[in-house]
Amino acid sequence: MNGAESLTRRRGQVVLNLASLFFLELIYYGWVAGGVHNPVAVGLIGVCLIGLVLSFRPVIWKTGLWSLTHAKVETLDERQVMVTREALRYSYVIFVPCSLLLMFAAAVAGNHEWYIFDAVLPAGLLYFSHILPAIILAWREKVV
Amino acid sequence: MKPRKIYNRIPVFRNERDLSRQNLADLVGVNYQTIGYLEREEYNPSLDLAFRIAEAFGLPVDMVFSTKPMKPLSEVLRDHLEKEGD
Repeated sequence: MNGAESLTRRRGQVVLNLASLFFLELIYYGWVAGGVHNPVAVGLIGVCLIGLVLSFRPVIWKTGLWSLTHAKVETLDERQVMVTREALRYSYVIFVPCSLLLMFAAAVAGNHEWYIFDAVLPAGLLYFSHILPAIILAWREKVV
Repeated sequence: MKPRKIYNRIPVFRNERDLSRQNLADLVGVNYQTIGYLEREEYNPSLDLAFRIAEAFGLPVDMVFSTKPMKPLSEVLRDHLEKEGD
Protein backbone atom coordinates (compact mmCIF):
# COMPACT_ATOMS: atom_id res chain seq x y z
CA MET A 1 0.00 0.00 0.00
CA ASN A 2 1.48 3.36 -0.96
CA GLY A 3 1.48 6.50 1.20
CA ALA A 4 -1.57 8.09 -0.46
CA GLU A 5 -3.67 4.89 -0.13
CA SER A 6 -2.59 4.50 3.45
CA LEU A 7 -3.51 8.11 4.26
CA THR A 8 -6.93 7.77 2.59
CA ARG A 9 -7.60 4.55 4.48
CA ARG A 10 -6.46 6.12 7.77
CA ARG A 11 -8.68 9.15 7.20
CA GLY A 12 -11.61 6.83 6.50
CA GLN A 13 -11.00 5.11 9.83
CA VAL A 14 -10.82 8.50 11.59
CA VAL A 15 -14.19 9.46 10.11
CA LEU A 16 -15.64 6.07 11.13
CA ASN A 17 -14.34 6.49 14.69
CA LEU A 18 -15.76 9.98 15.16
CA ALA A 19 -19.03 9.15 13.40
CA SER A 20 -19.45 6.05 15.61
CA LEU A 21 -18.92 8.15 18.74
CA PHE A 22 -21.31 10.88 17.56
CA PHE A 23 -24.10 8.48 16.55
CA LEU A 24 -23.63 6.42 19.72
CA GLU A 25 -24.28 9.52 21.85
CA LEU A 26 -27.08 10.70 19.58
CA ILE A 27 -28.93 7.38 19.59
CA TYR A 28 -28.37 6.89 23.31
CA TYR A 29 -29.75 10.31 24.29
CA GLY A 30 -32.38 10.25 21.54
CA TRP A 31 -34.02 6.99 22.48
CA VAL A 32 -32.41 4.72 25.04
CA ALA A 33 -31.73 7.17 27.88
CA GLY A 34 -35.31 8.46 27.67
CA GLY A 35 -36.61 5.04 28.59
CA VAL A 36 -37.63 4.02 25.08
CA HIS A 37 -36.41 0.43 24.84
CA ASN A 38 -36.40 0.19 21.11
CA PRO A 39 -34.45 -2.92 20.03
CA VAL A 40 -33.42 -1.18 16.80
CA ALA A 41 -31.87 1.68 18.79
CA VAL A 42 -30.05 -0.76 21.07
CA GLY A 43 -28.83 -2.64 18.00
CA LEU A 44 -27.61 0.59 16.43
CA ILE A 45 -25.69 1.43 19.61
CA GLY A 46 -24.06 -2.00 19.33
CA VAL A 47 -23.12 -1.24 15.71
CA CYS A 48 -21.63 2.12 16.79
CA LEU A 49 -19.62 0.43 19.53
CA ILE A 50 -18.26 -2.10 17.04
CA GLY A 51 -17.38 0.73 14.63
CA LEU A 52 -15.64 2.58 17.45
CA VAL A 53 -13.53 -0.41 18.48
CA LEU A 54 -12.75 -1.55 14.92
CA SER A 55 -11.53 1.90 13.86
CA PHE A 56 -9.71 2.61 17.12
CA ARG A 57 -7.38 -0.38 16.82
CA PRO A 58 -5.77 0.28 13.41
CA VAL A 59 -5.74 4.06 13.42
CA ILE A 60 -4.74 4.87 16.98
CA TRP A 61 -3.44 1.80 18.77
CA LYS A 62 -1.44 -0.03 16.09
CA THR A 63 0.12 3.12 14.61
CA GLY A 64 1.49 4.15 18.01
CA LEU A 65 -0.09 7.60 17.64
CA TRP A 66 -1.84 7.04 20.96
CA SER A 67 1.50 6.96 22.77
CA LEU A 68 2.97 9.89 20.84
CA THR A 69 0.80 12.45 22.58
CA HIS A 70 1.38 10.82 25.97
CA ALA A 71 5.14 10.34 25.67
CA LYS A 72 7.76 12.38 27.50
CA VAL A 73 9.28 15.12 25.33
CA GLU A 74 12.78 13.65 25.84
CA THR A 75 11.71 10.42 24.12
CA LEU A 76 10.57 12.21 20.95
CA ASP A 77 12.71 13.70 18.19
CA GLU A 78 12.38 17.31 17.04
CA ARG A 79 9.87 16.58 14.24
CA GLN A 80 7.72 14.44 16.52
CA VAL A 81 7.72 17.20 19.16
CA MET A 82 6.68 19.71 16.51
CA VAL A 83 3.83 17.64 15.04
CA THR A 84 2.60 16.58 18.49
CA ARG A 85 2.56 20.20 19.64
CA GLU A 86 0.59 21.18 16.53
CA ALA A 87 -1.87 18.32 17.11
CA LEU A 88 -2.38 19.42 20.74
CA ARG A 89 -2.96 23.00 19.61
CA TYR A 90 -5.60 21.89 17.08
CA SER A 91 -7.17 19.65 19.75
CA TYR A 92 -7.53 22.61 22.07
CA VAL A 93 -9.08 24.69 19.28
CA ILE A 94 -11.60 21.91 18.51
CA PHE A 95 -12.35 20.67 22.01
CA VAL A 96 -13.03 24.00 23.74
CA PRO A 97 -15.88 25.10 21.41
CA CYS A 98 -17.36 21.57 21.54
CA SER A 99 -17.36 21.64 25.36
CA LEU A 100 -18.76 25.16 25.50
CA LEU A 101 -21.53 24.19 23.10
CA LEU A 102 -22.45 21.17 25.23
CA MET A 103 -22.39 23.28 28.41
CA PHE A 104 -24.63 25.83 26.72
CA ALA A 105 -27.00 23.08 25.56
CA ALA A 106 -27.09 21.63 29.08
CA ALA A 107 -27.82 25.07 30.54
CA VAL A 108 -30.70 25.61 28.12
CA ALA A 109 -32.11 22.09 28.44
CA GLY A 110 -31.47 21.77 32.18
CA ASN A 111 -34.94 22.94 33.24
CA HIS A 112 -36.83 20.52 31.03
CA GLU A 113 -38.05 17.22 32.42
CA TRP A 114 -36.70 15.29 29.42
CA TYR A 115 -33.18 16.48 30.21
CA ILE A 116 -30.96 13.58 31.20
CA PHE A 117 -27.42 13.78 32.48
CA ASP A 118 -25.62 10.51 33.07
CA ALA A 119 -22.16 9.00 32.64
CA VAL A 120 -22.40 8.36 28.89
CA LEU A 121 -21.84 11.97 27.79
CA PRO A 122 -18.84 12.64 30.12
CA ALA A 123 -17.39 9.25 29.12
CA GLY A 124 -17.77 10.18 25.46
CA LEU A 125 -16.18 13.58 26.06
CA LEU A 126 -13.32 12.00 27.99
CA TYR A 127 -12.71 9.54 25.16
CA PHE A 128 -12.95 12.35 22.59
CA SER A 129 -10.49 14.59 24.46
CA HIS A 130 -8.07 11.69 24.84
CA ILE A 131 -8.05 10.53 21.24
CA LEU A 132 -8.36 13.94 19.59
CA PRO A 133 -4.61 14.71 19.31
CA ALA A 134 -3.91 11.20 17.99
CA ILE A 135 -6.78 11.49 15.52
CA ILE A 136 -5.42 14.83 14.27
CA LEU A 137 -2.00 13.21 13.82
CA ALA A 138 -3.58 10.29 11.98
CA TRP A 139 -5.38 12.75 9.71
CA ARG A 140 -2.38 14.95 8.96
CA GLU A 141 0.69 12.69 8.97
CA LYS A 142 1.54 11.27 5.55
CA VAL A 143 3.37 8.28 6.98
CA VAL A 144 2.92 6.77 10.44
CA MET B 1 7.91 34.09 8.87
CA LYS B 2 7.39 31.32 6.34
CA PRO B 3 10.36 28.93 6.42
CA ARG B 4 12.32 28.33 3.23
CA LYS B 5 12.50 24.86 1.78
CA ILE B 6 15.77 23.11 2.59
CA TYR B 7 17.04 20.76 -0.11
CA ASN B 8 19.30 17.83 0.69
CA ARG B 9 21.25 14.87 -0.64
CA ILE B 10 20.49 12.52 2.23
CA PRO B 11 19.13 9.68 0.01
CA VAL B 12 22.26 9.79 -2.20
CA PHE B 13 24.73 9.65 0.69
CA ARG B 14 22.66 7.13 2.61
CA ASN B 15 22.49 4.77 -0.38
CA GLU B 16 26.21 5.24 -1.09
CA ARG B 17 26.97 4.10 2.44
CA ASP B 18 24.41 1.28 2.26
CA LEU B 19 22.55 2.59 5.30
CA SER B 20 18.87 1.98 5.91
CA ARG B 21 16.68 4.80 7.19
CA GLN B 22 16.65 3.06 10.54
CA ASN B 23 20.50 2.87 10.58
CA LEU B 24 20.84 6.58 9.85
CA ALA B 25 18.08 7.42 12.33
CA ASP B 26 19.94 5.48 15.03
CA LEU B 27 23.19 7.27 14.16
CA VAL B 28 21.67 10.74 14.50
CA GLY B 29 19.15 9.94 17.25
CA VAL B 30 15.80 10.47 15.54
CA ASN B 31 12.85 8.33 14.51
CA TYR B 32 13.23 6.59 11.13
CA GLN B 33 10.10 8.32 9.86
CA THR B 34 11.84 11.66 10.38
CA ILE B 35 14.57 10.51 7.97
CA GLY B 36 11.82 9.75 5.44
CA TYR B 37 10.31 13.21 5.89
CA LEU B 38 13.78 14.78 5.48
CA GLU B 39 14.49 12.77 2.32
CA ARG B 40 11.18 13.82 0.77
CA GLU B 41 12.08 17.41 1.77
CA GLU B 42 8.84 17.72 3.69
CA TYR B 43 10.57 18.74 6.89
CA ASN B 44 13.36 21.24 7.52
CA PRO B 45 15.85 19.98 10.12
CA SER B 46 17.14 22.09 12.99
CA LEU B 47 20.73 23.29 12.68
CA ASP B 48 21.77 20.70 15.26
CA LEU B 49 20.15 17.82 13.33
CA ALA B 50 21.60 19.07 10.02
CA PHE B 51 25.10 19.00 11.56
CA ARG B 52 24.52 15.58 13.10
CA ILE B 53 23.46 14.16 9.72
CA ALA B 54 26.44 15.77 7.94
CA GLU B 55 28.77 14.39 10.64
CA ALA B 56 27.24 10.93 10.25
CA PHE B 57 28.21 11.07 6.56
CA GLY B 58 31.60 12.63 7.38
CA LEU B 59 30.87 15.57 5.07
CA PRO B 60 30.58 19.35 5.43
CA VAL B 61 27.01 20.44 6.06
CA ASP B 62 26.80 22.47 2.82
CA MET B 63 27.41 19.29 0.80
CA VAL B 64 24.35 17.69 2.35
CA PHE B 65 21.95 20.63 2.75
CA SER B 66 21.21 23.73 0.70
CA THR B 67 18.57 26.42 0.39
CA LYS B 68 18.71 26.04 -3.40
CA PRO B 69 17.86 22.90 -5.41
CA MET B 70 20.97 20.71 -5.41
CA LYS B 71 22.67 19.57 -8.59
CA PRO B 72 23.33 15.83 -8.99
CA LEU B 73 26.81 14.98 -7.71
CA SER B 74 27.88 13.79 -11.19
CA GLU B 75 27.14 17.30 -12.53
CA VAL B 76 29.05 18.92 -9.66
CA LEU B 77 32.01 16.64 -10.39
CA ARG B 78 31.90 17.38 -14.13
CA ASP B 79 31.82 21.15 -13.46
CA HIS B 80 34.73 20.74 -11.06
CA LEU B 81 36.77 18.75 -13.59
CA GLU B 82 35.99 21.27 -16.34
CA LYS B 83 37.13 24.11 -14.05
CA GLU B 84 40.34 22.23 -13.26
CA GLY B 85 40.95 21.61 -16.96
CA ASP B 86 40.74 25.35 -17.80
